[in-house]
Amino acid sequence: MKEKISTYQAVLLIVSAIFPTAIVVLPVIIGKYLEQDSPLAVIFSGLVGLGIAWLIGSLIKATGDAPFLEWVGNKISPVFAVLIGIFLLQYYLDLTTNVLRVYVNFIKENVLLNTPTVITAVIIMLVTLYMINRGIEAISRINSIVNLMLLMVFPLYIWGLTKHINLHRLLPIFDHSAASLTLASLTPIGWMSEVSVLLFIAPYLKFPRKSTFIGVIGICLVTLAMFVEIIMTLLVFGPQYMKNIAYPIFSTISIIQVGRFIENLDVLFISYWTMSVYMKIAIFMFATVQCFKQTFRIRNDKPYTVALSIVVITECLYTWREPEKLNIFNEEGRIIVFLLFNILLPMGILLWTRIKEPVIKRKEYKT
Amino acid sequence: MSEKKRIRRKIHHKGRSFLLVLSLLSLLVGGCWDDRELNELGIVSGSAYDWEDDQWKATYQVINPSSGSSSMGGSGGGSTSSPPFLTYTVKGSTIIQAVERTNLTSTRELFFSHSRVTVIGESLAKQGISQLVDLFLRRPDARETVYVFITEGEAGRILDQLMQLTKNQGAGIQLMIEQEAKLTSYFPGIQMYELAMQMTSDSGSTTVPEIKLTGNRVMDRTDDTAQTDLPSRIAFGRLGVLKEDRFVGWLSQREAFGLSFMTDKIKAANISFPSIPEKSDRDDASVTLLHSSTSVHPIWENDHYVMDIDIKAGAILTEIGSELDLEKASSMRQMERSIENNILEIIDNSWHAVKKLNADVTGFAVSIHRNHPKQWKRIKQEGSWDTVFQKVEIRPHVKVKIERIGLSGRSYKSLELK
Repeated sequence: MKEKISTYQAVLLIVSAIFPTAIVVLPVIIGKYLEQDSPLAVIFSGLVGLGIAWLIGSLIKATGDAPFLEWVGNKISPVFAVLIGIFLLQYYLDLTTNVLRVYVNFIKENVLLNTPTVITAVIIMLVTLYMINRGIEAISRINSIVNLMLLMVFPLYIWGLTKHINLHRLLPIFDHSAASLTLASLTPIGWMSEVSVLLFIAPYLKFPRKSTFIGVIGICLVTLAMFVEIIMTLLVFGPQYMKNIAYPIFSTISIIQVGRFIENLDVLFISYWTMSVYMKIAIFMFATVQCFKQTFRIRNDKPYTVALSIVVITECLYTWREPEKLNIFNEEGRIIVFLLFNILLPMGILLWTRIKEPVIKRKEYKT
Repeated sequence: MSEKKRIRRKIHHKGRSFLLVLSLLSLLVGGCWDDRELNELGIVSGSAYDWEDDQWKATYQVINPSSGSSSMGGSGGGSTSSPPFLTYTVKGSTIIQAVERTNLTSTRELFFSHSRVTVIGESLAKQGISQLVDLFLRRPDARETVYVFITEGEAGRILDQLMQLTKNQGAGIQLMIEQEAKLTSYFPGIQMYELAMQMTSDSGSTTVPEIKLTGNRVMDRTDDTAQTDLPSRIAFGRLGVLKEDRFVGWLSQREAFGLSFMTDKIKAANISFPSIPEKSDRDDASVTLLHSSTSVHPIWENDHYVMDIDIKAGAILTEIGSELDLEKASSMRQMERSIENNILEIIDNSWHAVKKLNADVTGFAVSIHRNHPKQWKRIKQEGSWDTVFQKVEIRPHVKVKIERIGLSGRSYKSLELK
């Protein structure tokens, strides 16, 4: 009998689906628009994220434990289900590729400078394939252990930076316009909307009806972690310097020095981060495979998983070869994709079923 | 049917094992391109940069693993006549070109992750150091936590100097500046990331401590250190002031001390003062400041900013040469007043020197931005900070409390008189 994912494990899966890339990509984007007011964007996007989590949770409740696309096929039309399945497949492939490329770029810039990108990408995908092969329940168990490591790293991070903190660096507050706040919040909102991955994880949950709770708690944890990270970076480096560094969290950790025996702690955090990104890639690769499986009604997905991985590697190596293109897309283009697939599409489907349902029921009643 | 299932399961199991073995083996492959052997690396403990003939002149101090125990302390099994570090000096049109050329002359590849200090020559500082800062923040193996120093002459000379009591000169200088900041607070040591932070702040100015040799000779031979009193030692001198990324002048030790008060950088400090100012101006007493805090509030008055500087400190009496009765509260107040006046004078001197250099190393621009954001926006738009800064007036208030008087209740001089 297949084991199911507990509610607690699912919450941590949501954290891993958003947090690993968010801590690397978002601070610089938010800081560019809001400087010392950056924490406001995190709070604002967290609030919107809660709304998205509620939306996804409501949709999962409506599916009544059935796989998402199968349910859409039954409720709306099989053709429509295949059509949105294809679009969603493209979205999840893109997203997995994006995460893979952010990861490869980081490894290439910081750790393995001379190793060919193709080797790094293939190795990461091989490990991911193995994880997918073991199933989502195994992934979620490992993910819980990885997230527990964060509980060890975070106190060390805060304690180590205490002597560098200057509260005045947060001043003046509310120094930026509402337009800047909106611009700064768009990308983080996009990241928060990744909670929609729950749609494909839901059939494996022990209690799918708790999806809203899972999404809401997951978003709260991500918002809290992001808030702490941005606040600490601002308190330590100030708003001007934060804008100029590529990886603020690693830069803040690298200055931690306790006596003469603890320094260069960034290695510790990089180790945690490396594992967490593996989790993120595995979660989205799993969602990609699930989407493929549900769209084309395939029973044995194993051979296709390898094929999908090859597509991801190819897109990672050729489409996002230039880091600037990836940065611009993450900053400006991705929000549209997120908005479309994570908010508008689920909202449209939910509204459609809510409007259509009473009509059908009325017809049934008449006959 | 069951046979089919068994075969399928076997295939699955084999496929899974194959994937696992492949994943684990491939993890090892990643290191092949980036492998580094410790005995092939030249660990850089310090670097120095000068500007000569329109070129970068870089000096790298590389730890010599074959150096053994000697008069410089430490232990090891290598040759005692071999110096604890070696230096390489090369020129290049860019810093990386210089690094490349160093690799042409060394058997080991330079490895910068353990670098402790960087010395900048005045010639380079006058040209601008933004390219150097950029390199430190960009290269993954360069540490942004290195301590930065400036020197009047050639920076490379400093790295040739051997030190007593420590073999690793870079680590020795790091220890010196950390202790200096902790004990005297004349020069708050500055690390590369702090330098970058201050250069990009609203003030756009920063300070870097001067490092120098006390004598003319460079003690670069191992037998030079086999004497009790070295004729030439490494020491900290003045405080170099950089506006944007260029060197604009020096602050003396006393002026630097005043700046430490204004910028809340005092951790501990010794202050000498006349205990009975009505009687004599000569300093005859000392206190050690145990704690000090500074808060700065900008106030707009008529046509200029007034910086209200509030300093509160606590001290312990460490020395007294007069017959003052320490058991009397009035004597304590008298000494506190004298210390306060002394600090006010130090701050005033420092402020005049800073104003003369027209570089906002006080961080007043940041303070105005935080307290008067609208006015700051206007100043920034007009680009008039230099003019505004010249009109700034400071209004320091110092409150010192002698919290302890040490182990003796009365001054020795008062006992002598009896």
